[in-house]
Amino acid sequence: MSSRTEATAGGRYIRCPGDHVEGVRSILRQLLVSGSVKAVFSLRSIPGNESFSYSLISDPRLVEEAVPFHPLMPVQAARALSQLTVSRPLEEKVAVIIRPCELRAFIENVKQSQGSVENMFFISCTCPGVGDSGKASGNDSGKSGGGSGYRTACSVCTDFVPGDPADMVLLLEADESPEDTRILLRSEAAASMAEDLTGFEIVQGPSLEQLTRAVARRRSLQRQDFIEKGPSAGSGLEELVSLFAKCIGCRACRQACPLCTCLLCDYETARTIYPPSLIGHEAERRGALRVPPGTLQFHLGRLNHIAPYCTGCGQCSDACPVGIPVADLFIRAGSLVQPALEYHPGRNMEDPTPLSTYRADELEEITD
Amino acid sequence: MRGLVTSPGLPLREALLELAYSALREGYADFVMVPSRGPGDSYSWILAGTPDALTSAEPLPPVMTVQGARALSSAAGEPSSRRILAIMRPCEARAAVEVMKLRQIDHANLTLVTMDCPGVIQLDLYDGAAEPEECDPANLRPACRQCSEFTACGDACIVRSADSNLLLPLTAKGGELASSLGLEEQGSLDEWSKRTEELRALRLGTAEGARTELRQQVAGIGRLSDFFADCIGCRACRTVCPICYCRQCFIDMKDRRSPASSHLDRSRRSGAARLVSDTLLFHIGRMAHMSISCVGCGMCEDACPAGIPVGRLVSMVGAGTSALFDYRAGKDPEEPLPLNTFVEEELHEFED
Amino acid sequence: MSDFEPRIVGFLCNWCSYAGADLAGTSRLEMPPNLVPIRVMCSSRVDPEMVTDAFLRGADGVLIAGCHPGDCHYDKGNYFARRRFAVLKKVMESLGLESERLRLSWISASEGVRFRKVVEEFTEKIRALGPNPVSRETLI
Ligand code: SF4
Ligand code: SF4
Ligand code: SF4
Ligand code: SF4
Ligand code: SF4
Ligand code: SF4
Ligand code: FES
Repeated sequence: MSSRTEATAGGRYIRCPGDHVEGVRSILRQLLVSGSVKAVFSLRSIPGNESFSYSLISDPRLVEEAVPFHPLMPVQAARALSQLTVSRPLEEKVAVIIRPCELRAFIENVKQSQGSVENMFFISCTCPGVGDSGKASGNDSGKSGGGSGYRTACSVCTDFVPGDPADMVLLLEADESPEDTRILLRSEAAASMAEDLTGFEIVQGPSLEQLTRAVARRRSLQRQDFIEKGPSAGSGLEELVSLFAKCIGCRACRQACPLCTCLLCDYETARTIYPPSLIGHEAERRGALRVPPGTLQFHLGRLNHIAPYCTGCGQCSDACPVGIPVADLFIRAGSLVQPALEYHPGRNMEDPTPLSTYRADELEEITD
Repeated sequence: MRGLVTSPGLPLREALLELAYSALREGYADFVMVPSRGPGDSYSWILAGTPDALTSAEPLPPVMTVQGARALSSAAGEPSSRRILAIMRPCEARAAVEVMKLRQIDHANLTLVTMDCPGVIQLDLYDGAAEPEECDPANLRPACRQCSEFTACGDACIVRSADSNLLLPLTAKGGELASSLGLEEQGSLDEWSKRTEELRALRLGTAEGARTELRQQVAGIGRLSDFFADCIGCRACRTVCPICYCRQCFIDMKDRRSPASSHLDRSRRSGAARLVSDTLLFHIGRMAHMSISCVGCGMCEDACPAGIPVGRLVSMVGAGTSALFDYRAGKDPEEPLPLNTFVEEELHEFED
Repeated sequence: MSDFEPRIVGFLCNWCSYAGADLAGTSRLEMPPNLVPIRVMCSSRVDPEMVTDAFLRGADGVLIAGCHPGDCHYDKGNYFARRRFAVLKKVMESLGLESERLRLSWISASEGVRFRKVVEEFTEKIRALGPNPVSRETLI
């Protein structure tokens, strides 16, 4: 069902009393026991320490360790799913608990042959956001999220209702927070799975869009504001240089980004790394040169490679050990690049990736 | 050891700056590589070609933002006729020596000058406000608190002894530097030696205690896995480490990818399995590759966004591996890397 | 800066624009000497690294020139080049970097006169913008 018809017609939900954690766990347990899925991919709280990490759970008894939609993103799920399926797709069904931006990133991975959706059953949510997790999050000097508890990326995310690839969507972020667990059945697969679930009733309800109108309006205002006047809004070379003056070159932003999947990044190759002779030359010409050079080349380059696909998840900022709001730049760049290419990353599997396609009569305004 | 009087009456920081200026002015070097203060109280390494470019130089910044040996391997990664004088911390000079042995730095036209190192504060505790000289010793990084090689590394070292600055020439190159600067008058190293020995003993004790504790903390694969439970796989530890110079790490090789079914099998065996799955493989593999050359600089730990004490682990493991070969990372440029050499009759205890 | 002479890096496609430049030369058209031509096999060969590298090394302007739409020797290279160029422009804009220093033009092998016009125009535009501030920046 396309989101457009849904917007007017509403949809079918499964409903059970109580909070969503138990509700979702109950679904996962039943799916595992009945054999409809062979494993569950979810955030899990590792017993014995206070960490959360993504796990593939195949024992129904361990579903109680699953913490579906816990507001943390230790690893961007797309990265984990890409690792899982990049060399060969799943041969057995797996239920995947995933946030909208993670799902969009994974769809991009799949389009770029970095993973496969085969045999995945996606359970997503209307997303309230996640909090910062890095150690630098304690001080909000430049670190995203300062104050609200949610990442900046989340507070300006207007894509919090998952697109077509989601099979089920839990209503989590809504104009009026639901008192029970309500999950939209979006795909045929979801509808037929729902028939075998016990402890749920099936109800007709308004569309997700109808239930999240006020949130959408608020987020879109925040987004506009952020893009126009947010911190580090494109104010030129000097600002850019000072923003990255404290970059330690650790590349955590790249490594954490679900879309930077290259095994060998361009910015680790002889193509872009200045050889010592060139460093000497540039240092002589400018009087001095930062060593190693290449900070701006790397970030500008990564922006060029990723802005068309960036899903605005904020993971790069979260990973930065020195609190540089990297994602802010990517979100802002994406907000210009993606409309220019008329591309909405990860919304569906069908749209061709923007740099592998073109129209003969477009973008004439940028040529002279 | 000789100590030659230099920059009398100046604090250590100024003495180092004066050295930088004179090296350029006297034509001892074409470039000085030294940390420099930038916008927003940031510090970066710069390669300065003129005295003017040293205006913001800060030889003793309160933090280590990039390990000096890493900066040096970019600037001096291959033979060049340009002479560079690098002013760096002892652990950075030791790392540079290891990196030279790994042939990622060309030493021919390079002079490494170190100093009595006061240590640096933890990157995430640095609020930008601290003036370099007034950083709170309580915020010193754990790596610095257990560092016993905090002086007299590289080709020459400027130390403080009874309130004077003395340059110790440690190699032939250090000697050349001293004579090109016209340093002749010897000063007494007694106060320095005594202080150094005391601090070294104290730090060795701290290190030993910390290592024993850590060894217990990670004993067994389950505990090691807990140690890395918060690891987000960002590889910052590897990227900032001066010893890990490979452009493409073993962990990023395509042939390491495993099919989805193998992950599912793993999950079936224990009921649940972590994804991503290569955390321990990465860390153990990295330590196997480079721990023997680890100089304990703490840079990796400083960079870790998840706050994992990864540097202490690598250096603990390194202490064990290097003890096997009686090797001390970064001490002696002539001593071959243990894994690039062998002795016919050795290590029989590992054979069965 | 009255004595400012812009330095412009030109990535010229072998089949059209480079030939156009050649024609301008053999026809002895007078042209500003500010363009450093780099021959590439197709405008789509120019990836953003090459442009950002030139920019960060202090080029005052970067020109990418290729065959007119529909005429690319490799059929559709220039359409892809245009998309990539759009990304680069928007990224620069979003950072407030001077994206006017980058230019994409279509110049065919027979357009020696157009080649001269493009170089003249672009040189004048860059002259008005002044030197690229990146060339003095030490913290790149
Ligand atoms: S660039 Fe940053 S915000 Fe965008 S997808 Fe990558 S990690 Fe997420
Ligand atoms: S920056 Fe570009 S080359 Fe590097 S990993 Fe990301 S997409 Fe690949
Ligand atoms: S994570 Fe932060 S410090 Fe590391 S490379 Fe990215 S911006 Fe620089
Ligand atoms: S492993 Fe860590 S402590 Fe050891 S040399 Fe590398 S960065 Fe320094
Ligand atoms: S872990 Fe090994 S392969 Fe990877 S960068 Fe370090 S030394 Fe190289
Ligand atoms: S820096 Fe920390 S989080 Fe990143 S890979 Fe290393 S140990 Fe893991
Ligand atoms: S060959 Fe000229 S643009 Fe492709």
